[in-house]
Order: sequence, then C-alpha cells, then structure tokens
Amino acid sequence: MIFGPFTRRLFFLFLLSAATSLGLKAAAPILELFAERVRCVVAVEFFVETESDRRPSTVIGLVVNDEGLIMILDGAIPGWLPPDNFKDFKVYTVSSRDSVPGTYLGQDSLTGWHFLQADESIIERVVPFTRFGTTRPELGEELWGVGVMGKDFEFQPFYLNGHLAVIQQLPQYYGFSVNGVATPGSAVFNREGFFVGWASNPIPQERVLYLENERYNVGIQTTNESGSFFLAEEVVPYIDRAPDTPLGRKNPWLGVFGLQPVDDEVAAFLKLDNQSAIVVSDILPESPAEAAGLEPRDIIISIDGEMMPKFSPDRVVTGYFERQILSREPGDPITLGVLRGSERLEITASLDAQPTTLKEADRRYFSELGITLREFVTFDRISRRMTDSEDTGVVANFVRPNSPANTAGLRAGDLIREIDGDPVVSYSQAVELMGAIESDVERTEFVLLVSRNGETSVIRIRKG
Amino acid sequence: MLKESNPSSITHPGRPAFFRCGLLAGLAVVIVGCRTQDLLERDASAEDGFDNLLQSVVRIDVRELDFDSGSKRFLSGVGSGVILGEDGLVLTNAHVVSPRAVEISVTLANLERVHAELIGWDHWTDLALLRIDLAEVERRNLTFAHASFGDSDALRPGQTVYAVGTPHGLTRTVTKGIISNTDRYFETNNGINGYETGYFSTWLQTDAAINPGNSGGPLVTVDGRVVGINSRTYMGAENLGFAIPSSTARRVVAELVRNGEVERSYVGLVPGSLQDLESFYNLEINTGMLINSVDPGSPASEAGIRPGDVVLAINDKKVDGRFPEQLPPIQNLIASYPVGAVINLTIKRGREEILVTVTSERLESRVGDEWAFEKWGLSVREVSRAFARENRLKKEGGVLVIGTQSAYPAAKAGLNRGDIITKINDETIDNLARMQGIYGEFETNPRSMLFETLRNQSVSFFVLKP
Repeated sequence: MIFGPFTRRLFFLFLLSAATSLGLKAAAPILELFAERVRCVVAVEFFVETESDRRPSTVIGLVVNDEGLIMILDGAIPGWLPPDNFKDFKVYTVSSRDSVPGTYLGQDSLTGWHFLQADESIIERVVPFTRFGTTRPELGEELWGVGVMGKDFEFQPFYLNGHLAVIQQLPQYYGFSVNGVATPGSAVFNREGFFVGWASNPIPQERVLYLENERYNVGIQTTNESGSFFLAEEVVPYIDRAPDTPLGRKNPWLGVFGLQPVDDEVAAFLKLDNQSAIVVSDILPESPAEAAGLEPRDIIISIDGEMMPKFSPDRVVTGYFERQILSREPGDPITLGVLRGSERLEITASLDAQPTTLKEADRRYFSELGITLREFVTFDRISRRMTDSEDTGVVANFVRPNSPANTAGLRAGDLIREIDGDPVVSYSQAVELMGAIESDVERTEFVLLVSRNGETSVIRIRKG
Repeated sequence: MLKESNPSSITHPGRPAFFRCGLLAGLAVVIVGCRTQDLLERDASAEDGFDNLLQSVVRIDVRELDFDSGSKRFLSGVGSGVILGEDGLVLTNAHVVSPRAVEISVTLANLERVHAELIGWDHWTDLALLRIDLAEVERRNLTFAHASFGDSDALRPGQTVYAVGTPHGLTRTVTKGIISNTDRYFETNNGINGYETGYFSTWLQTDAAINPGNSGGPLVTVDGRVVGINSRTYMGAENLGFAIPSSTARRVVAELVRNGEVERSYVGLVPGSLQDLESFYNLEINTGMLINSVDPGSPASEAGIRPGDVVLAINDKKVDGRFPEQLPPIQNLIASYPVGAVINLTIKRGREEILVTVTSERLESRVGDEWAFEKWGLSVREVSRAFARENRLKKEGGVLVIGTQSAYPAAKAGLNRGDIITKINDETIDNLARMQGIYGEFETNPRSMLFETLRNQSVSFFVLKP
C-alpha cells in the first residue's frame, strides 16, 4: 500500500483546510456548474469474453475532445488480455437509458490509460473536459466532482465535494481530498468550475475493526467515491496518446527487471545525497541492457546526466524509472549513471522495441480438448525464472474445468514442453500438433510433458 | 492434510503440494475382510507379550531450541517412544525429538523420569533414536522393560493392532484398531518441521485412534510385538492414522546406532508412476519407472537424463514403477548406494534404449543449519543445495532469514523473513560460518554494515546499524 503512512496525516490537513476555506469569493451557483460539467463524464459498458464466459463490466470515462474520444483509467479494462476479448462497447451519457456504440482504440503504454471512440451521434450530448479550463488547486481549496450511480439508476450523476488535503508525486502528481470527490474515472473541479483533476482509484483507508473484543487492522476501499485524482497537468498532455491500433505501439524497452529502490540508510551508506537510486536485479539475455554492459546488482543513480529525484516513499522511484523509459521511443539512446561496487560508470544503451507482450501473444482455443495454447513470451521467461534462453514451450493459458485435460492434471499456467514426445520448439508447431490431435477421430489419448514451479510431469489425457 | 501428531510441532502451510504428492487427494480407506483375533487374545503368551510391551512404552518430554523469531527460544513438547533393548535405546519420531533438543526426559512405565540423549535422527523416515541415561538408571536403581519388533511385512489388512502412547499428555493410553492398509504411499517436502519425509518408505495405515502425543509410540500386534511407529494422522478425517513399518524402522535403527544418521545417495530423479502410460512408451506392463522431473544441476541432469525417460533397470536390476506405492522402494534402492557410487541406469527414450552412468551425491535436506544472531534480532538458515534448486536460485549459498525480532537492528534495517542474505559489506556470504564470523567482528566492534539480499529474486540493500 503506497499511501498507508500518509493517510493518517490527512485528518490534520483536513482541519487545516476547513479553516482556510471560509473566505471564498462568490462563484456561479454549483447547480449551474454541475449541470454543465456532468456532460464530460460518460458510463461505458462492455463485455470481457473468455473461452468459457462473458462478463459484463461498467466503468466511467472522461470525454477528452469534441469528436467523442473517451479516456478510461488503467485497470478499468484488463490490460493483459488481447483487445479481441473486449466486446460490445456502449457509451451512455449520465442520466440516460440510451447508449451509442463505442470502438476500443487501445491502451497507452506510458500512462496505462485506455481510449475509446464513441459513435459521433454522441457529440451533441457531451462536452470535453478541456472546455472548462484547467488549474492546479491550492491546499485547502474547495473541490467538487461528479459521482455516477449504477446502470439500474440510469447512471444518475450526484454531487460530491471536499477540500484539497495534499499533493503528492507518485511519480505522477496526485491530489488528495479527505473524502470522496468523484467516482473513479470521473472529473474533479474547483469552486470556480475549472477542471482540476481526473479521479483515480481510491486509496484503501486504514481502519481498525473490533469484533467481539478482537482487534483487526483492515483496509477499506469505497468503489464509487474516490478522494484521489490525477492533477489536470498530468492529464492534459496525454489526451492525444490514443494508439493507432488496439494493440498499441511498440514500447521502448531496456531489458532490466527486478528493480528495487535504495532506501535512505543505504543511500547514505553509499554516499548518495538527496537523490534516489535503483538496484537492477537481473538483465535479460539479448536485451539492450545486456548489450550496453549493464550488470545485475548495478545501482542506477542518474538518467541522461540527471540525478534521479528523491521520492517519498522510496519505492515510487521504480515507477519514475519505468516512465522515463516509456516516454522515449524505440531506438532512442539512454545514458545511465551506474554505481558498481565503488566504481561510477556511464552506460549508454540503445532502447529496443519491447518483445511480444502478453496481450500480443498468439493464442488458440481447442474447444474439443478444452485447452487454450498461448505463445511463450518474455514475461513467461521472467515469471518462471527460466535462465536458459534455449528453454521454451507453449503455455496452457486456459484449461476448461472438468475437461479431460483438467481431470488429467493440466492447469492453466502450465508450460507444455512436449506434445506426444515431440519437444515444443515454437508456438506454430505446437498449434499444429495439437490441431492434428484434436481432428484425428481415431485418437483416444495423448501425452504432454508439462512444467509447473520448475518441476515437470508427464500427463496422459484422454480425448473427449 | 497430514499432520504430525506432536502438539509442539508447527504445521507449516508450505507451498502447494504438487506433483510429488498428488496422491493424497485420492486417499480412500481400504478395509479388507476384518478378521477377528479373539482367539489370539486369549493366548497366555500373547498376554505376557502385551504386558511386557506396556512396560516398554515411555512418555518423552522435550525442550528444544527454536530460532524462528529472531532469537533463541525454547519450545516444549510431549511425545511417545518405545524402549528397544537393555542398552536403553528408545525409538521415537524425528518430529518428536530433533537435533535442536536441549533437554530430553523419558518417563518409564513405572512413572520414574530419567534423562536421555539423542543418538540418531532421520527425518526422511520420521525416526529418531534416544538413549536413556543408564548411569542415572543404575544410580537410582530403576528398571525398565524393552519391546521386540514384529514383522511388518507379514501384516494383513484387517488384522488387529494396538497403538500405545501419550495422546494429549495422557500417559500410557492404549487404543485399538486394525491395519487399514499395509502399503500407503505419500511424501511431503516439508512435513517434519520443514524437513522432507516419506520418499523412501511406505506407511502402515491404521484406524486405531492416534492423537497428538501418540507420535513415536508403537503400533503393536496382539502379542505386543512392535510392527510400526505411530507418526501421523489425516487431520479432518476420522481414524486415518499412519505408522512407519517396523521393516523400515529396523533398518534405520541399525544405521542410526552405527552412524547417528542415515547417509543416502542422491541423483536428482523425480519418479512418476507409469500406470496407463505403458502403451505410449511401448512398454510391457510392469516394466520400468517413469521420470517425471529431473532436478536442475543434479547428477541425473548433468548425465543428460530427461523428463519422460523411463528407467528400465538400475545396475542391471529391473525396476517396476507401475503404481505409486512401488516408487519408494525404487527410490530407496538408489538411496542405498554409497555416496559417490557410479550407478548405471538402463533408460528407454523413445525407441532407443541407452545406458547412462551417474555418480551419486550425498542426499541433502532442503533445510540447512539454523542460528540466531541475538544482538541483531535475526535468525537464519543456511541455504542448502536442495533449497537453492527448489527456489531456482542462480547461485547456491547465502543464508535465509527465518525470523526477525521487531525493533532490533535487523528488523529496523528492513530485513524480512524469506530474504536471502548474499553479501555483507564486501564479503560474499556462502555459508553460515562466514556470517557467524562477521557477527563475531560486530560484537567486538559494532558498526554499520551493508547487507545485500535477494527478496523474491530481486536484489535489495539494507544498512544494519548497531
């Protein structure tokens, strides 16, 4: 939990903000501001379709331009699934039962935000948030935002308000209010009606629960009211980052993983003053980092000559570093200041395009066998700690419950190393072998060698 | 799940039981024709034998060191045991008395309490051997009886047996049941306080009531002969108890008397049963042992053995691993070669038959030596080769943090249970002794130290301050 220690301080700040908000100058009535500004908020309904089910989902989106472009929070749509799995996007304006169709444009890798193009018929009913002007709110300033109820209430908007308690860099600038000021994905304004931020997911609040004399520490998170929001300055520059295709552009990639922040005590021990640093745990083979000579345990202290700024908490620095990479383009150089033992080095790497990601990975569902095969990608190598670059296979991405494969012991996530004794050398070969097994009506069984948690096992699967 | 029946023991949630113990889910009680033993029970010599057995069963109270919490603490527990001879040897479970025991006392049948020491320990079969302090026995003019072994191989399902022990501290409790199964197979890689057990022998299953505290007590026939050492129950089920068969116990006792431990050979094969796979491998029924997995970096792996290979013979001795119950004897065959032995494996791979030679290593537990650095509030365990393999650590060596005491230097520095310490200042920590050396320096000259650790495979640094 990133925010834990700091939420306690909010109560203090709340008192402070209550005191400062007394002397406000007159502004347009809230009623007027509200009626106009709810039009930059929409509800988006879609289905996530998988091999065995179709799950409905409703999220809140922000209208970002005059053409009906809509931005949706990271995490509101599962980023690890191929875009093909998202079906039937419908966009509802608030207090409405009517929807227009939407087209999913993809996810921006830098911000993680999703883009959706609503049908043009929505244009006259919505207003982009940029129309209202933006500003950075001040500590204690009164803020308000749009809450949105569920579909059964026809997405009825409601008024929420609070005061700015603190601004934190995590590494994006967030504003925090003690209580909820908007539904996540909706807009936050100040008393004058300027757009001040985009509500993000709420922070879990630390609470102590007493049940029959037992004390429990619990985190409580509301689902439709959030007191945290991206400041307008973190939103406006990114509204034109809609990808050209749903799979998005290729991310720049360095090929380091297991990044760990260096804490204050260690920084002082290493004589690093007033700056952040990151330890690199591992370097992927054949990556730009390896080619540049970066080594495991190197401590990165600067990027392109700039010392990495200090963050609280320390671990924010890993997000900062990742954003530094992602804000570049494949092919761009990056120069890292590195502490290796007592040596200080400058290492320049040329960023590559990221290898195939989970959502880009090819997959094929063999419905009769109840197995989805998925291409083996770099992420699999890292998560399975497969150090030998020769090692490969194909991933059982889905195993239908109670299918023969499931009964025989195959589990989603297993790495299939051999099919009927043939080593799996590529995804296409595995799909071919599995397809032949599925279509061969004479076949009654087949055998897989699978690997799970580093241990392998031979599994015999009866067909049908 | 299976749980040791010693109340002092902690059951670790452990990692999910995977291929190696997939069998348990399918445990079914097999009761074959219950034969009554009433005739035998009337037998006078059998009664004598049983009375003698009752005089040979002891209660064992143990105080042992525990390093889990960042300090050295004592835990106490109660178990059972059986005296094997006039020489005062007492057989019990490895999970009742471990090498960490600092005080062992044995309560004889006449309720007199005497001291005992640990002679040998073998967690792989869950057996430990103690010796009663004979000098004390003599000085206090005490007497004790001793039991004799029966033949566990001759047991039949349905045969009447008795369990004798100290359930929940209730000294000398006798419960009655039958042999439910003579050849039960299960293993666990952390069942004995984190140590492995069950790979090299099968278990006797009984419905005689076995409760916490029965551990280490004997399972006997009506004439009082020891056919098993009670060890575990299936928690949440009723009357599913498990005992180490006397055939295994006799072999292990002999070795423990001689060596204090059972040295075993390791080659790194994880077997699977061949059941129903014979046609796929073009094998005759009842031939060969399937290799499910090969430990990375093990002798078998170095020799090029691969998962899916089938071992037909070990040093020309044919093996049959068709059913899971048949695997422990084969594992035991490999283990019983001297460490460093050259073992010839006849292997079927596809259509080919090949001969592979492996040189065995010494079998090691995943649990390494433990220690507590009390001024740091840090308890650690040496990273064993087996632990390194299991966790896919690139390099062996290092020590694992198994506990920290809050507000002590290690906890303040940010070290957590599960971290692996790989370096302190510029010194690579490849074993516990190295770390103890550094701690010694710290005691004479306290100063800040930089710890390099692996946490979830990621490198982190911490500064430990005096």
